[in-house]
Amino acid sequence: MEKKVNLKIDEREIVVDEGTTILDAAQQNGIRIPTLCHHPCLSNWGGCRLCVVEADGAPRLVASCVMPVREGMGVVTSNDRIIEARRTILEFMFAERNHYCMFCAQSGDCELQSLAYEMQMDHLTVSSSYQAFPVDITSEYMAIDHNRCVLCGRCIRGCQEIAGAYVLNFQNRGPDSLIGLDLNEERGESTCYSCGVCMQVCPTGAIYNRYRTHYAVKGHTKDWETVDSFCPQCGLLCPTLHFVKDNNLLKIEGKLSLNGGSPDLGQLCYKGRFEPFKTIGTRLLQPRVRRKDGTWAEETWQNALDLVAEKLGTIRDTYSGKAIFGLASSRCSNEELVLFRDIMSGGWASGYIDTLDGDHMRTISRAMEDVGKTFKEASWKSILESDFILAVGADPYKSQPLISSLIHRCVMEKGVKLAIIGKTDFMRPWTSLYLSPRNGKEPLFIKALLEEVIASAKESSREVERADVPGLLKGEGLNWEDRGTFYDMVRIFAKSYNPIIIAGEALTGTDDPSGLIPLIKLALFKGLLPENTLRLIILKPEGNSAGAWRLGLSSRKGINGKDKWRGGLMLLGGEETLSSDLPDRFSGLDFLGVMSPYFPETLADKAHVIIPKPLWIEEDGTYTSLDGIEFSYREKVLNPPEGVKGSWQTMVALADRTKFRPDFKTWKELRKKVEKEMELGPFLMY
Amino acid sequence: MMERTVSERFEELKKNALKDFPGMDEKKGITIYVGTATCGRSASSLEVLSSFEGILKTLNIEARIIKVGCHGHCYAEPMAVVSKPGWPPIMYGYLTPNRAQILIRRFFNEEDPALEWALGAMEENDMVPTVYETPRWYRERRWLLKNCGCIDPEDINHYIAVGGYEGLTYAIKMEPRGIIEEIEAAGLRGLGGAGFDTWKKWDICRDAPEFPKYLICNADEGDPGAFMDRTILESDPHSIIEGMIIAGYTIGAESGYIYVRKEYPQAVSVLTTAVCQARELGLLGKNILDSKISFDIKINQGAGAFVCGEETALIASIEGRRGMPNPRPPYPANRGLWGKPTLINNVKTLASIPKILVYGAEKVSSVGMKGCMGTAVFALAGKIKNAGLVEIPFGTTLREIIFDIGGGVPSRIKVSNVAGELPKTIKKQFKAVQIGGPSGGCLPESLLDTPVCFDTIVDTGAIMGSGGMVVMDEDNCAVETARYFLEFTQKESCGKCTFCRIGTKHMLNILTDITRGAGIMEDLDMLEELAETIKKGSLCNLGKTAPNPILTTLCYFKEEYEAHILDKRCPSLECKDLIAYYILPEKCRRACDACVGSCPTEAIYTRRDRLKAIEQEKCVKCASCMDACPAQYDAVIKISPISQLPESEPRDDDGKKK
Repeated sequence: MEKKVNLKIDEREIVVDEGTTILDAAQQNGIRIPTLCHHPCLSNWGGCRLCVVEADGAPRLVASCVMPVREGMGVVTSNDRIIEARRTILEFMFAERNHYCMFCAQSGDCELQSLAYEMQMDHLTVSSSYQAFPVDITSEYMAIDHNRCVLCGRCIRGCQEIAGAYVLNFQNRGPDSLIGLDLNEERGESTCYSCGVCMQVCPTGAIYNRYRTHYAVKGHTKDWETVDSFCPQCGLLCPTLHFVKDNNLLKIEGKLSLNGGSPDLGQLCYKGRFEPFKTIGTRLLQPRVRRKDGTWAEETWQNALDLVAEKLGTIRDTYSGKAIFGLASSRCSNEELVLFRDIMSGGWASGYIDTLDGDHMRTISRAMEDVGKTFKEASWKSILESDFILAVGADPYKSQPLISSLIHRCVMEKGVKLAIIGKTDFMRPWTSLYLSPRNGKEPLFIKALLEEVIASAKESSREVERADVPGLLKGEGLNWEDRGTFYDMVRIFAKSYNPIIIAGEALTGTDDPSGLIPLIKLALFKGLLPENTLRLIILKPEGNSAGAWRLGLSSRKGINGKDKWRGGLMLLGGEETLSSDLPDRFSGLDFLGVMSPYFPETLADKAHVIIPKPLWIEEDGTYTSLDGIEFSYREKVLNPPEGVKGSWQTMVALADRTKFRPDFKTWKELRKKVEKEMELGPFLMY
Repeated sequence: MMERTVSERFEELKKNALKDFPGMDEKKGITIYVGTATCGRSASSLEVLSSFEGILKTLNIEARIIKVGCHGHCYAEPMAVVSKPGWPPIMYGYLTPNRAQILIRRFFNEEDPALEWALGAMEENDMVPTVYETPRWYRERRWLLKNCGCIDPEDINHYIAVGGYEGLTYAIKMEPRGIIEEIEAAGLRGLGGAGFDTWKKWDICRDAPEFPKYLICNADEGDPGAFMDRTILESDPHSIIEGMIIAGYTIGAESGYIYVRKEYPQAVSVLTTAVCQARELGLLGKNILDSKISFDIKINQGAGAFVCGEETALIASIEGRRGMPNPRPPYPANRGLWGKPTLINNVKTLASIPKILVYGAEKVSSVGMKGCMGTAVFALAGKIKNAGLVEIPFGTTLREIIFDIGGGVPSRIKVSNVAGELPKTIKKQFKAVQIGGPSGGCLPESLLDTPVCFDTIVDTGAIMGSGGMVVMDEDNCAVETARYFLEFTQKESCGKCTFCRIGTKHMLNILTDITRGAGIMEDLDMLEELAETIKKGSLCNLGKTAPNPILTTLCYFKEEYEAHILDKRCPSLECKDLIAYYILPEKCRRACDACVGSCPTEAIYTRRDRLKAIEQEKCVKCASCMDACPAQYDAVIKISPISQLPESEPRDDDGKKK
């Protein structure tokens, strides 16, 4: 039981826990004290002094955001003297740098501006002491305009406490102070991983989104709509808040939380915060059909769908369903995937349905089969509890950026050692043990690592088979130092209590599970985590890869990739560009139908019909987490552009044309079916 | 059992130390002590030292030369004490390498102690008057500075021989509570400037339940014109180490940090040696003097930020973060370094601890005044004759310090260029004294009878601060002084809190305008208003005290501000934008060309009547002509406001050109 403290704020008797600050005590009781440098999810700073109050009638004003309450304290939050001091601060801030609101993209969404209105500041009594500071636009995502900075230090605290990046800090002294990155680098050159926490906590327009449309923002935040959602792009399912006005996406924010909440503290990554703003091609609004001369013409939905049904029907009737292929992107929601699966198999008796990243999943599955047992993969949350991280063939910054941020936090804050076998540019600076074999040679190293680890454990008892490490290293062109690194890896792994292994695309992207098998054994060597969980995180190429696998979208057998395909193929595409060798395989097809939000440039001379599809942000759907265990439903944030029909409508219309009657009649029923399949389906993936 | 071991161990050390210590004892042969602290070195004492070595070798005299610290008589550097059997040890000042040679020749070859260079004898005797009888010494009470300049700071045996580490042996025999009570009885207050009761701080830190605890010695002396800590660090480092061990034992800390500025390289090297030597003798490390006490010291160098003298910023700096103050509470005594209870004391406070234990609280508290007992060390600088360190009992008046001890304001001497004519001395009036560095205030003559004590000084609007005292004479402008100090604080503001970062800049802008003659009367109200707000709302003491120089000058020298604003006149003739140099035609001599060559911008021309005049457009107001003008003419004057400048006379060559 916390000790309670009695105090008086503005003549009101208040009881709060001991150790609460005056500001928190006031806010808990609905008393407003203006703040600027204070942020509820960041540590207390006490810099801006806007929250000054009078405590116990002392002549010096105290900053309420850092002053803990005392028994019997008498606090006055507002009187002439306090208001005068606050207004002086605001005037100081406005006079210090360039705060001409009408030229600022953040106008209307700016705490400094709102405070000026609140304090009824209508003129400056101090003369402006404006000096020009640089504007840093070297990053693709965010710009820093030091001229609009009030040096509240929120971005710095956000960078340290939430992102764990430790990139930002103050630089210079006195009025020349500014926010510096690393050792005075520009954002583009710095070690910043563009998570955008600094931008989210910035109270002014000093750090702003370069992708955000200027005209859409201006005005009042009260006109905005907030959509509580999550980001399905990489499988970590980070909760997000989307801000929308007139069907325009204004900004995406993470749900910051310092205590409780998810272990990522509400941080987002560059994908979650900025990617939805990007336009990556020509957006399709109307179905298109390729004419005989190779040009594309717009067609009505009716005709386009008829054409697809007719063509696929003909192929089915001529060559049987074995000549009908269905390929889906794992970015699609579970509902879309089930719809696609059922219609392809039910409507056209498709002989072969797969996902674009099916190879990865098959490799994982084969590796698991080889080990002989079924295990769960570890959740990304277990990274934070580990004492040694081994990443093999993984570059999480590209696939799951938040994971690289979590690794960084472990390295920086807990001194966890990070070992990498494979190639990574991004994590290189904080890697303590780094081995970089040639492409595709990772399995040899993992095998050697496994053998050495086993050998080091059993050394005293009996001889074991040991890898020819020097020979291996020599063959890979690695030197003596690397040999030391290798043995350090063995030693530290053997000594660690709670290691976690992260495997990436370099291992799963090949047909050969020979790299993954010893890695699973290596993870088993340290025992399982609770609930039959391996100490292994396998990074998947797409956000819903695990979901697609569990729903049976990815074919278990796979197809001989070398052959050119014949017959008809339906492609349910996400926004991604297809892998480079795929279009070649399509060239022998009699019919290629594509459903995609953007015009697929690589298929321009191969596809026959292209049907538009909404973006993920424009559709409801269920998505599955990276480890395939959790799944949740998100509602659409935006409406699709006029003319674009939802996947449900399109696919049901296609089903109608094949006389196929799926076992769900409404979207709701489909949702239920997905839920059931996810719950009843094999809980262990492999 | 333990007590005996500690005493025995110490006696052993002391015996060992005395064996080698020359002291001022004549039986130990000829010894020369040369002051080689930073102040001495900058006055070329190292050259004097090698000169001594050279001449002793030449004359084949066997003597020991010992590098000592600084007596605090910086005005007389380089200094040396020569101890020769048959004579009392005599202190010499104002030495040069040449004088050193002559001195030795005369003293040893001719038995003539060259008394014209002597400041006095260091012991009572029948032949030479002692230094203690001079006004500079006899009002002083040297406790903290007792060893400064008398021992070799780089030899721990010297410190032990003169009674060092004895306080530690007393402390080990006492209960920590007893030590705190002793300090309370002695009335010691934080000598870093704030004057917080030392015993209270120790008590809070001792009672804090968390472990480990840390002890920090704040040696980040950043005030312009203050060098008390530096002198103690360089001349008597072991007194600090001893104080730290005692403090560590009392509060239960086993590791201590000395945070010293990097700008004090000599202090850093002396300290490092001292810590190593103490470790070798078992006075630092595990089981000090075979007792159960363990304590060790790390030396941490600051990177030159003024604000790092503030305790929370200092802690951040040691932790490797940017030196920025954090709000208090929590106070460091509860949660400080690495989040643990931390005691932070100033160099002088810690150096006082062994003295209190050796002298006893009764003796210490008998000196000083009510509320402020013991002694205070001040650094006298600026326009004062005897610049240097003074240690006086609390309660001594400023007048005594400045005029009796410091010798008052020096006259300016102007040399004549006529052979045989004596230099002309121009008497200067005392104007003000800045106490407490840039955070302190500027006090006029009317307040000189204020006794020195934490509370009385605060009442005047200044602060005691760490003890810098900058004396100003009639040539110093009050507005410019305020501007100078504010510029310093403004530059050194860390940028964290709005009041300090932006407020000081606005005040500086206004002051700069006033010194340029662009001020208006409303500025004064604005200044006062800003100053009051900044004082009330700032986060740390840097901001809270930054307006002090303005508020005190506004209070005591308001007429100067008004003169700047209303008449565009600088009464002290210092603000360059408000003065003009002028050559008085009635004093100027045709035959003299002294000023012409001195002028860096060739602004001086010859008038038709062959006298010199200054072309104002070219003049950069460097005062070279004024210095160059021989004393017998003294024709160059400063005029303020500029509007009173007489119209310029035509050039000599004007006609020719036309």
